[in-house]
Amino acid sequence: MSKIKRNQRGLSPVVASVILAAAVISIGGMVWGFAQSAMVSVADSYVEGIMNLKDECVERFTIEHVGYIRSNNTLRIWIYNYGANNITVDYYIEVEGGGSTSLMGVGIASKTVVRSQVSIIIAVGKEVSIKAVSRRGNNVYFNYLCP
Amino acid sequence: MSTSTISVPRSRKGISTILGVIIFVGLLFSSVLPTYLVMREADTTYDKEVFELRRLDDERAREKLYVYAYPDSSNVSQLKIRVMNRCDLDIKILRVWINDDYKIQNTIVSAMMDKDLGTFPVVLIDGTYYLVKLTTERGNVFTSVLGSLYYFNGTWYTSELSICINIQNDQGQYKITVDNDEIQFHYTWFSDGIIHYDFIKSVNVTESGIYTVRVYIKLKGGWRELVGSPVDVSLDYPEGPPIVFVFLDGRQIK
Repeated sequence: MSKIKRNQRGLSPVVASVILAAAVISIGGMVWGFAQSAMVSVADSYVEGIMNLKDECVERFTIEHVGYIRSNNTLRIWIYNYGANNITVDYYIEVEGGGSTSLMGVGIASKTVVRSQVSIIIAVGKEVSIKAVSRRGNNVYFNYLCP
Repeated sequence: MSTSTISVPRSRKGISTILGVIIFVGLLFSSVLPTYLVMREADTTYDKEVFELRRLDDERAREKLYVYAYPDSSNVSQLKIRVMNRCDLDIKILRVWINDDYKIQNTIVSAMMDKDLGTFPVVLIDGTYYLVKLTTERGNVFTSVLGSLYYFNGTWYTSELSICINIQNDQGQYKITVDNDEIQFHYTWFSDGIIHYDFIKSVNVTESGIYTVRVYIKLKGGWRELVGSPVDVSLDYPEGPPIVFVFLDGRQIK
């Protein structure tokens, strides 16, 4: 039986090239994947930041009316949300010469007026300072002279 | 015919480097470019919102509405409300407040127009002040220019009858006259020197009727009448509001 001897001198450069190409492609792919996910993450975070800022900027609300019922010591506050977003508001109420209270987490849908009420004793002629703070950090103020 | 191939040996050492750089830059762009576009889109959305918001804030600041609330002469337990829109925007009134109660309204008052909102019932309590105010869609709250109305012993007490003269002005010295020959009412007012801002002059009158308002500005030593002057105003309280307004532009001289 005769053996055919083939020249194998060209094989190793081909294998080496294939291995090298595979290595380059896989490393490149990994780097590209990493860069891609990093960029997506950066973009998501940036867009979220911008949208939050936009939501904060477009918030518009006002304390439309304040009334006090002396018979049951109830201070009533009407807030009108004339902005495009729903908001959640916390109230901080301070009475001239002492006395304060707060009311947390009043939700107000866009384009609606909502009445909130708190129990507080206010003497006749005392000034009441009302601060409404939205959860996005916007404030409105109202001074009410208690009749 | 025989052909022979001539190959010119060239150095190919730079090709892979160039290809590599092109592929690298391509890959880089393919990941960075979408991110950049998304960020630009977010910026554009934000800018649009802020621009729109500035416009709305500007419109809100420009809203100018005079509210007159006065007792209905035919029914003591009702208040009549009349509004005068004095800005170049339509104003949508959402709510009418009488003390701590409100009525939903949804009325649009066209730019520079007047409108009667109708009559509103009130629960009459002796010795009570009634304050009327209106809320607009843009978030402004306008209080009645006549102030609080006071009800006591079956009678409403309102502010005095008056003519309120509004002058748009850059600068000038003014003379205003209000006359009603029928009741021999004559009133003249001179400004204290030159006025450098828009101003309002209120003139109390004694009774209802038709009054003639003339407004002059001093020019080169003489009094010159403004465009639109004289103005005849009719006070027909209690059928109408106890205050009437006159608007003139001090920069327009006859």
